[in-house]
Amino acid sequence: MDQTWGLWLRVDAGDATVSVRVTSPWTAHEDVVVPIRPRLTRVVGDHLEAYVADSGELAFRIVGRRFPARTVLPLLRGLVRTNLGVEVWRFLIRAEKMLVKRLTGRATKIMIFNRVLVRLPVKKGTVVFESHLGAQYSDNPKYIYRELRERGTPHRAIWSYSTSKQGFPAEATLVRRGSWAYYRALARAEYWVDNQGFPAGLTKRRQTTYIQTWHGSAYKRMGFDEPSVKQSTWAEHVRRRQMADRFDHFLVRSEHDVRTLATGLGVTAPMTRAGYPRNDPLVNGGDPEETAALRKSLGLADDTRTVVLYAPTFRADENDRPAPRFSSPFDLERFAREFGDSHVLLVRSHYLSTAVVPPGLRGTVIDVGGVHDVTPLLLLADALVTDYSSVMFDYALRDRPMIFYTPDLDEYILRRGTYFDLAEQAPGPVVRDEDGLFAALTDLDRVHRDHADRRRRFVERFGEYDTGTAVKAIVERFFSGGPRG
Amino acid sequence: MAEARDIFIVCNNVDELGGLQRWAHHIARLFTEREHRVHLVGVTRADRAHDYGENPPYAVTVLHERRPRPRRGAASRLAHRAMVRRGAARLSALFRTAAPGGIVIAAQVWAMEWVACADTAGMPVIGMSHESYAATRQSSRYRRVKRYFARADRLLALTQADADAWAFDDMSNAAAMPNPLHVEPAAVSPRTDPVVVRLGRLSFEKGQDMLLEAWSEIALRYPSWRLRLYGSGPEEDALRRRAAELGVAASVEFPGPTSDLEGALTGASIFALSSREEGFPMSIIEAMAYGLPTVAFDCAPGVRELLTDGHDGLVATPGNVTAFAAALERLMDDEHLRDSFGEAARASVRRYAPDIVVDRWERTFTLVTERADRTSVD
Repeated sequence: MDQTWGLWLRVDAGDATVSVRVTSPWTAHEDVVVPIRPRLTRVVGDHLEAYVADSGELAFRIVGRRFPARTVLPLLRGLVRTNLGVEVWRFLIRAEKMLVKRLTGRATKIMIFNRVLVRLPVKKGTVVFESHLGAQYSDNPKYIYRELRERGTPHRAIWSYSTSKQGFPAEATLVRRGSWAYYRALARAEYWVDNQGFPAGLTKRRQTTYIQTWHGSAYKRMGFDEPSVKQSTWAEHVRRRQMADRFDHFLVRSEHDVRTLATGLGVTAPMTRAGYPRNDPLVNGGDPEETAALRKSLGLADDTRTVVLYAPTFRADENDRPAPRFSSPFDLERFAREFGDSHVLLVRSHYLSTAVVPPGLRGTVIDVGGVHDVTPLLLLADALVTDYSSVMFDYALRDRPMIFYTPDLDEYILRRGTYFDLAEQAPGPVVRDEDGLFAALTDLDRVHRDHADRRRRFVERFGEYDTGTAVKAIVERFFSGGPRG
Repeated sequence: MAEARDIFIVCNNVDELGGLQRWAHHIARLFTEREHRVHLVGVTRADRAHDYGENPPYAVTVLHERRPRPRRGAASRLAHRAMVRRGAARLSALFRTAAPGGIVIAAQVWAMEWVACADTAGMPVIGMSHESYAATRQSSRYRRVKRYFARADRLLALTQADADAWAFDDMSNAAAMPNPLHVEPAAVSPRTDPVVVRLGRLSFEKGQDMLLEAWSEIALRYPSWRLRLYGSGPEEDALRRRAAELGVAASVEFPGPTSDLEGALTGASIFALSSREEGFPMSIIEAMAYGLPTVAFDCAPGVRELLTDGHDGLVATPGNVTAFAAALERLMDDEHLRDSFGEAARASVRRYAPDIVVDRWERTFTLVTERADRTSVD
């Protein structure tokens, strides 16, 4: 029975949010009358009219202009003003909110999924793809999907997206992560393909094959090897075990993955030692047209400057949540000053953070956080600067110069824990300060020359199965017979 | 000498073997020594009673002889409410015997449901949270704390950091009160036996699995050292298996539970606290009192309140077993460091001497009763 509504103007500028009530010195708005149908039907009100309150603030209210609202509305208002009326009304509002929350909540959907949806027949040939919880059309799932498309196999692809359909393939069926359509698709799919994890709590039926491709080899400790997970509650341990137990196949690109990732995540499924589909182009050189198109879209079509990709891992804040905004740990303006004529810097923050590039540096520093797929960026870049990101294992396949800019190495090792000694194994210089970074950038040829051996050993150790045939092997192994059954 | 008061300490039960019950009997004894009249009240009886000594110098009452069945469904919820009302009536009768200036302490939030239902007119109610804010936040107790303790005159957390966390969470009545030191060492550890010791239930929360992992990273380099895990519990078999898996079975001892705290601590040189959750870890207080340096995960604000990293102990990021192992190694390597930490620990733990803590309690009593008087005048 909320009869009046106020109007607020909310301005978001950077991190600051300002809300102000909209006021009006005129009374002309009072002519604004819109016919409406409230949720409690036209019996309780039929028009919404604007009015200016005594305070000068602009507001709307429900009125009854015609029968029956003209009689019912004043009656109702009188009623809800009584003591009992207030109580009853509050109860109804709370009950409604609870009911809506319960019915559309995740828990309900998961319950319905496990009890009802998984009893529906499996739709042979349907594959649900998801990358980074629906944030992107990218990574291994994308390359498996593309191969299926190119081969024209009779599979029906469904892609999950978390917020926007932007960038997802139009020819696939798109379902929003968490929607009823999403749960229905998962329940009836013949295949699940993803690189992180479908919602915890969902029971995967036996008839569905789950191919977990994962999204990168590990330098930092993962899963149960990660301090924050190790110390978490029993319930959290159980939740993670259940998620890992659903995998039917786990994709790896080296024995290092088997020793670290697979144990850390608690994978019980057999390993698929095929390498990463997303890395095939890095070995084979990729599609030159696609790279040229990306170059053009970044405004670098005729640019001859050296392209340096800066792709650090994500930074957690004190509570281990991703920092929402990424700020560069080195001076971007100094980069522009010293290298603006010869280099261009592409900044790729983790998919959970957004980078802020000062507008004055446009053309020399480009935020490529919005590009879904990192692989074409790796093809385009002439050199890579990273810290602890798994992109190091992928880019090493390109055999190009790499620089490890790690001002907080000691603290990172202590906080997060790592699987190997970066300084000892890194296929490029590990620099601790800005001067070191800029010195290395000055002579990339030398970086390339001096670390050739280390790069080779790095690839041998961490990318032994990445031989450019991953997607072929996977599609032939899992999808060649067309829909099974 | 502060004025003598009637003090009612209401717990879930007062006869189980556990840290809270040990605290309750200890504090009851300390209050009695200051001439207060203490009534220790358990809402129910424990399944297995522990002997806290015969003829205590304070009154002990149990509200319900039979444990309530778990609450499920509307019918048993009604039964539960009826039981709370019956118990609360007994509490009210007890409270009416108090002279002016009486105090009610609800030591646990489940017990607070009874206190809230009872007639506490004229007596300030002090609620207590015997675990860290973070631990409560993750549990079903959180909603009950917010519901029942919001109207208490004080909510006492174990450390200032936890009290601040509660205050930020709209519990403006939050303050801190540490547990008093409950051991009086007759001897101090000579810190000569090459033993790392851990006392506590062998359970997931106590994190002995993480301690074994840390141990496995260093054990081979220190063949003369032993890791001694006192206690029993649900994880015992799993822990023994894990030790074998990690290849450290030979250097890890499981002597079972012990009542000889002094023997256990004086026979070791380093104390290791590997818990996932803690409140105000009494086991660290004990170790400090016996002059042991401690290595601990930073799993609750209580750990940092007790230990000063690099002065009387070493604190590792929660769950980071490599850092934990490195800390153990640092102490195992350096006899002088062990001695200096151990002596610093003994000096530091005097902050929790019973007299000092009871003084703090009495100041709190004065504060809340004065406030209650003022409110009743308004």
